[in-house]
Amino acid sequence: MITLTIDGREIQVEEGATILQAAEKMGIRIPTLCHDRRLLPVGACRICLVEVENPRPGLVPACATLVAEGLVIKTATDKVKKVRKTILELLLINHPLDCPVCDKAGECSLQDLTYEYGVSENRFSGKKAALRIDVVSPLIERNLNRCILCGKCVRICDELMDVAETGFIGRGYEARVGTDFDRPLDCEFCGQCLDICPVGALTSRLFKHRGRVWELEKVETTCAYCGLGCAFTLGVKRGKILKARGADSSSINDENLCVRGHFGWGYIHHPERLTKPLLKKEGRLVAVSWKEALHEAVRRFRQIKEKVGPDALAGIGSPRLTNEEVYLFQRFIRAGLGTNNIDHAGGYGHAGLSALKDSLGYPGTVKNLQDSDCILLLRSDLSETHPVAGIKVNLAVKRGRAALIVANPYPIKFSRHAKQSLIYRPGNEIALLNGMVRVMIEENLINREFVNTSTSGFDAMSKVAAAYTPDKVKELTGVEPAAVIEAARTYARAERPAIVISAGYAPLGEDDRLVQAAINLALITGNPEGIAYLVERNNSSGAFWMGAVPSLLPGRQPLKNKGEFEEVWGAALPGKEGMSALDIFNEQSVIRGLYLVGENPLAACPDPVRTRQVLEELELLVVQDLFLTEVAAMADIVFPAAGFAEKEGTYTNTEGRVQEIKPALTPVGEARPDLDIISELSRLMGHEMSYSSAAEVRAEIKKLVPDFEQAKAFEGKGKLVGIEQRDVVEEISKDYPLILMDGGLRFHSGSLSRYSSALTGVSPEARVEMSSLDAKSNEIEGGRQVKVRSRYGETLLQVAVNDRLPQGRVLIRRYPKSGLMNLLPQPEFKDGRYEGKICTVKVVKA
Amino acid sequence: MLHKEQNLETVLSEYKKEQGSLIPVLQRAQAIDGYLSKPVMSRVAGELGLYESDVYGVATFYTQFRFAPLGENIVKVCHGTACHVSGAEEISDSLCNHLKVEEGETTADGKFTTERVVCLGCCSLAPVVMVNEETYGRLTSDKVKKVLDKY
Repeated sequence: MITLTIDGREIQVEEGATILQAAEKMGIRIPTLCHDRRLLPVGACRICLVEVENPRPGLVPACATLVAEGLVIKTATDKVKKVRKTILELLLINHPLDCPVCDKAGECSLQDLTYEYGVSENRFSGKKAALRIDVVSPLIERNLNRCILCGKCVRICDELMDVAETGFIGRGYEARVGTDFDRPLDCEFCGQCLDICPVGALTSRLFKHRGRVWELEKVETTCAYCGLGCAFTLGVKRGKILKARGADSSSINDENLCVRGHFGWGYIHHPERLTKPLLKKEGRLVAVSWKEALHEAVRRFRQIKEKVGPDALAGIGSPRLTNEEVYLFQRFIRAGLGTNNIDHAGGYGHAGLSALKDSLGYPGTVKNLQDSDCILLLRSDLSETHPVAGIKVNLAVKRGRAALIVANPYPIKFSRHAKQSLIYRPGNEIALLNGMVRVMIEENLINREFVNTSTSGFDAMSKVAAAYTPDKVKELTGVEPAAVIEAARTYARAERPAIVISAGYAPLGEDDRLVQAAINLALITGNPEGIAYLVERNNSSGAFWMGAVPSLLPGRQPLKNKGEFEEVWGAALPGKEGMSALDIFNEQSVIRGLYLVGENPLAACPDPVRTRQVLEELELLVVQDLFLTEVAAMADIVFPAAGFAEKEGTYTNTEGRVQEIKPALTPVGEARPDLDIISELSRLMGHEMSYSSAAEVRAEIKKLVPDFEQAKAFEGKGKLVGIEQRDVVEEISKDYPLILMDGGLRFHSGSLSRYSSALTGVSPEARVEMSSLDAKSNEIEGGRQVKVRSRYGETLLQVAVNDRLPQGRVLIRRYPKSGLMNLLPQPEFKDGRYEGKICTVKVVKA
Repeated sequence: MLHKEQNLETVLSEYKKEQGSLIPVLQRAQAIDGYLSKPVMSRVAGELGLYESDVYGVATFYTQFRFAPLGENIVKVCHGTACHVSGAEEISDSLCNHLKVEEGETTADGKFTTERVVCLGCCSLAPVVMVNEETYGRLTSDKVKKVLDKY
């Protein structure tokens, strides 16, 4: 610890802290312009100059000067004030005073400091810049005439995002922030530069001329896109969201946001939002009253229940619902309808979470990823799937010099910084992990003590792994033996290694196996804290924990423990395990009445033709959604639901953290929060539910699931289980010579993003990517329309040809209208579980 | 063209592994075409593992790099102290108006490139303009136009 004196008061701080950090700790404010705690200090603007009295008198920048023993600092002497005022005068030489029409006014650091230091006149004068305003770039408007060259946008784009879209161009008086050859922005559009810009040089096009900052009501809530659950603040004016910015330094995102968080909320104001309940009359959906719609639903649920039995009914919820809503939904299905036929998101999501709970006892952790010294990015195209987690990887690698091992079937953005880039045959990641485990055991790189004290199943697991010799791994994955050995050594020798896995990119039925194979690696080296399993949706975790699963009650209790639930719910519960979403859309489906809440199986399940057939044959289809989706259009009854900003509740993020969402708006039209709809439906069904708030539901959840809100961590016991690599790739033949890989896309996530004009405006058209060699041999030109055909169906897409993709593989990212689902096979039911396959395709000229 | 590409390849392979080699690479790349084009700079960035914005930022920092092909004739307008007080600004303005270019740009027909320089070392002739290797002194805004007619 170091002792220094600031403004007459002594303070002790850690070595390596800056004067600014020490002052902040004491509650002394020092103004800054070029400083941000997330970035490395540069000391460029000099507005934070403070006076040193001892040992060597002078002025130093507080943000870039480290504390030293016995330092005596004064932060607000006349000299300091005078210097700061002069700096402001110099900045104001060419900064235009167009504050009345500047969207930053009200939260502009330069404006605030000019006011604070009373700069009413300027002793200096000079030429004002007259650069053309960039109104061509989407989402972000750049008016560089207002730029003060603090460089924060340049640095956050480089240090955190690793995009480096802009840099300092030119020098001296002519210097400006710009792109190469002054082209418009063509970046990830994360919008981080907007939030960090201290002046009005970078502003949001969505906010342009729509309000003044001080008119906005600020609502701190949780982003509803991916499973990270970033904290953000919505700026609301007269019932419209106009802005979002990252919030809360203690949250997982540390004030950072990605393009979806910054710009993707617009769907909530989409003109096609459902505003009234709809009922099918004479083959057409017509608007009716809530009373009529609800009573009709109840009447027909009852009819099927009485005629065929409760197991002819089923409910599929969405991993976008709040915990409270999922909880009530499954309670309604189980206690109200009387069946365990309940699932969510095609049943994809929870397999990996299940494996984590069983073998690690907690869902993994993301928050401290940036402190790792080795990161294995396993099938995790993070800049597309979870960009904010990608920031942590960038920080670990670029700032912390962590060794990065990228294991992916195609090169990703992070590959450029990778110590090793292992490009393996799609679907063979388990073989790769087993191969690494074998090397570690063989070379005695494992943590014996940890294995003995804190794990079970080592012998059986190592027997399985022993078969994965470097040669066998090479045969299965195509990765060279030396590379596998090097990766194993790098990982095993690291002190704080981490494995990152993006959920939902393995063939169906593989996620839990992949997670277990990764857990084996983490546990034998004694690193149970180093697993980050990133789920797809905002509440994938919650949907699983709250019991939207056919075989488990809330809190992951088996059905045989239903007694306690029966007592609290005051109803008898069915004991028979229910059907999963995959069962429901199976050929032999016996479901007659289906209640879908926020779920669109036509977009989420493979083989949309069969899914549609099952839906058409239903006697009753009730859909609850924000939009008239393809499936809602087929429904008999449609309930208009409220979106994330129109309701209250909690989401559980990928780490198991329960985070609140707060209503920023009142629901559009007659739309109602899912919680209200479900409870009223249940009440009418004869199963009483009455709650005045989400908090009341939460209280009930806590009664049944005591550890609901508790922080989750490794509790000292882990399970090792040997996992064999399954043959997951379909046969490669002359008719289907290419392996289809499925990739994420940062602009989209599920079905809501396509109603956000901001996101659809910047995302490219749906494409299939293929290597230039494959394109050449198939006589395909980049940019043309092609047909991608599998054994199950086909889709028409634009082709993008590049040199990065390995030969023999094509990549389709999850664009809303990619037709990806047409190509995928229905999973097979084998040995009590569903097994999907990676399919092979042919690409032909359209 | 092939010859030029090979040249760039040679330069890149020579410097690829060397840290801090951006400026020499840019200098040699410029020597091939006479300027730095967008594809050349993208290629340099890709091969050296740098961001394009970094490469462009460094290149624009130094006056020695050009981003458009040079004209047939280089017109250097002296802005040294003597020329400055004798009206170099007016000479520049007149020249640029006449050629319809900004300072440092090349005319649409590719005939002239204007440049602003600091002292050509013949202050007694101020204000001075140099076209290629030829020096013209005691100019006025009219005279300078006539000078250009010779080319």
